[in-house]
Amino acid sequence: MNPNNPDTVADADMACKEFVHLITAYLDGALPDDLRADADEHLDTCDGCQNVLAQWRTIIALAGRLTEADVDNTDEITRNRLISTFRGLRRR
Amino acid sequence: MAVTSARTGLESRLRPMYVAVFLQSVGLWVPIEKLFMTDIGFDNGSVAVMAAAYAAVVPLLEVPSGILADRWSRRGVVFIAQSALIVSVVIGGLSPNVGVYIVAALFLGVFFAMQSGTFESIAYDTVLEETGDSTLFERTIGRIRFVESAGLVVSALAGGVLAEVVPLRATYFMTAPFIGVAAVALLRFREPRLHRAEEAEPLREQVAATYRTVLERGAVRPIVALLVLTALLLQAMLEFGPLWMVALAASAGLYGPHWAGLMAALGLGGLLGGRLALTRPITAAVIGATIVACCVVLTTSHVIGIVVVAQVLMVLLVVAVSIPITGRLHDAVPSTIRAGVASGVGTLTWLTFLPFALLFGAVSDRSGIHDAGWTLGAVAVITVVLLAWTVRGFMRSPAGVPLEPAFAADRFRPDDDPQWAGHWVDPPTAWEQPGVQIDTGATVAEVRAAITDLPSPQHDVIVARDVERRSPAEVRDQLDLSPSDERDLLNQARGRVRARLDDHFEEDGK
Repeated sequence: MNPNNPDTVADADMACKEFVHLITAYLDGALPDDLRADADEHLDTCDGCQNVLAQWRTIIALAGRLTEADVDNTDEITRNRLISTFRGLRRR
Repeated sequence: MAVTSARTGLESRLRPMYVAVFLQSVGLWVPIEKLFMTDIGFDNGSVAVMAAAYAAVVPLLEVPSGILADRWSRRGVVFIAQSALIVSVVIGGLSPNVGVYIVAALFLGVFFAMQSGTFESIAYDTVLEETGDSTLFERTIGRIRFVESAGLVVSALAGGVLAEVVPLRATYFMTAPFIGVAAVALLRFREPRLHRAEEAEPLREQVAATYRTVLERGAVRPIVALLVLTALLLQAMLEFGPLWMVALAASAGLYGPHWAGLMAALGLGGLLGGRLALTRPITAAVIGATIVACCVVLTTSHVIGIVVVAQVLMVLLVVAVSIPITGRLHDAVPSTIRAGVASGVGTLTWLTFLPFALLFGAVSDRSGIHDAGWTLGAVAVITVVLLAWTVRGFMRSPAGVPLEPAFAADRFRPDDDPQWAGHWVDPPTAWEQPGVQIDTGATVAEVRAAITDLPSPQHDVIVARDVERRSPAEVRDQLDLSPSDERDLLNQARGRVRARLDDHFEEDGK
């Protein structure tokens, strides 16, 4: 710990608001060590965030039971593209 | 309701930063600097040496300090910048001769280089973290510019008055406590950490990505060019604007109000820029025409009042235009290289300004300041043409529309909450409850519907990662995404699915 590093003064506590942005990075094991330690420390005391983390895992498990064809939204993309083309034409 | 609370959350979180920006802009020595320099023996030659030393330090340090801000801490880099500023004013105040004062100027260069681009990166990521998208960024950066100019105006006036009653040196020493308090205010600011939410890339790759983004052909290039051009116009106006006053033999008493007018225009331009709809062709046309008209006035008019109005108006509009363009730059750049890229734009501005200043000086020496105004006019015309050409692309693409955040802002306690800032108001409960079946056909169907309804980038990432079970590296390659974009999009997608499932289980529980 370096006392001159302002990071260690006020940011030692992670807020729930910050944690929910980092869940996927946390699960991927992609957080730098210090952020990961902050996240673990936060999870130790925060039931709400533990629940959200469990929900993220549930979603990953449930999504894994789908196939690609189940979630194909090509039609929708084509429709959106058409709509934005029309919008573009009207702007001119 | 959610929108208002996100806005107040954002404002209360940013408050310490506004305070820090205001206090560090207070430079009581600025109005008396020329006088003091003459006192300690500066002549034209040594002023040129100082300017050259300063101009060499800033571009050398800008991008490295931006990369440091991205790899380590933006707040940390501002903290170092403020320390350099304190060192600069103390050495400045102590300096007995030209050599020592040049050292002070170099520390001032360190301050400018380190803070350039850093505040706007902090602001962008804070807006993103607090509100879930970047819509309020322009308003925020406009406020920062306003607060900054308020600090400049206040100290320009106060410094002059102060110098009447205390020695010139004292104005330097009296500036230091303001910067100290600014540093303390900054410690109270909770820095967003989006830029660190991934494993650190090797330094070489990050440096390469930063330079590539600033210099390479692509969607960002016209935006970078516009930012450099607007910054060039602004810097030229602030550096050379007073020369018109000299040429028109304005009385000494007019210099103060003239300078105060330019500084106030910086701030008002910031406020205006936060609300500017550049995408409306009529707005863009009126602003472009007015900027060019101001330049024409500067090349022709010999009436001091009209020249001053043209300069003030031009500064105001150029700052206003640069703000939405800054927003588009940050929209196009991932958080991990944000401060580095913003600093890169600063460096390019310097590198462009130096030859421009030489040209302007040469024309002005040969045939007067009014003719030199045409060089400004040429830059203004190029800027306006490029603006008209680029502005059509400013519509955020449908794919780039940010999703509604996974958790509404009012689910978290506000930032000024004494103990639990940013924590749950009402913590989410577990889905696993007695009597609730998680793994049912109905739940899987809900997940399927939620994924199908996602817009394309989030849809593509969650399908590749969670349905097809590909590795993060494969998905990045396949969809051509940076590691941080891939994870952000996936996190947003999972967040939307979570919200749908949460509603689903809540209905189930009833």
